[in-house]
Amino acid sequence: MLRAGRPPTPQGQGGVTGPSAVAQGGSITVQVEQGTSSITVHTGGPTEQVIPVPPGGSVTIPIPNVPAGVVVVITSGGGLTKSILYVEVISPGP
Amino acid sequence: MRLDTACLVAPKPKVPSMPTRRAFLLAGAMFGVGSMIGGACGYALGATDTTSGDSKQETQIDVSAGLEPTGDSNLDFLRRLALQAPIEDLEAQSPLFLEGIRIHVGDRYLWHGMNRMADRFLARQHTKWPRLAHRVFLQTIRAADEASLPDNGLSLKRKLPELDRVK
Repeated sequence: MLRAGRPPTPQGQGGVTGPSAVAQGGSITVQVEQGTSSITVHTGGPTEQVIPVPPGGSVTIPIPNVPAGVVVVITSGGGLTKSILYVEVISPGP
Repeated sequence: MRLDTACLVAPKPKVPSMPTRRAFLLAGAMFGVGSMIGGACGYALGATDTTSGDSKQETQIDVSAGLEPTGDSNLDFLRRLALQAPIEDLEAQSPLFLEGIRIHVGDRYLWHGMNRMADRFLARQHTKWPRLAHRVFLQTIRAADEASLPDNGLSLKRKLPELDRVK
């Protein structure tokens, strides 16, 4: 049986780690592996936001104004070693 | 002295189920012909239907052309996932695959992989996908620019209302 090669990277491990959910209009802080110069943020479309990573690797990301239920995708690195974190946007509490 | 009633009616003569040798041979011949026709039809259906569900509505994909090296090893890997890898591998690597299709949105070979995933999704067999991957799958289809999509990507995008109904 053919196996395509690289094993799957566990979500949010390796290059970028952070919370799994964020409130609408909020922001999150993610930790990025040393040596990474930038991360990208998108919601599945071609438009993406590139955010530089400061020394120390902690990046605060303002979440785009999207409806609750949308998943924000944060990636670091490139190619097949790209690390991917999915963050679910949830309704803010009462 | 006791007298018991006795039945004196003769039993019905048994009609043999296979009355003649000619009938037996005819039945055997019919069975043989039926088996041959059934087998041939089954083989023909199986040979043309290598995919299942909605992906079989795609226009024919030339798998060997899609597996030829492109000069971009990342794209080659993603195409192998889309065209050749077991569906479980494609599903396990779906976050990486969905990233790839966002970048190579015009690649019909990668959209074949999306159609394979859509089949599983519509059959509600997506429960083992990585967390939230099914939502990103839908977001990726929704956000794909129609002008850039190949025919099989466009047809999948048009199925979004059906896909959205899957919880």
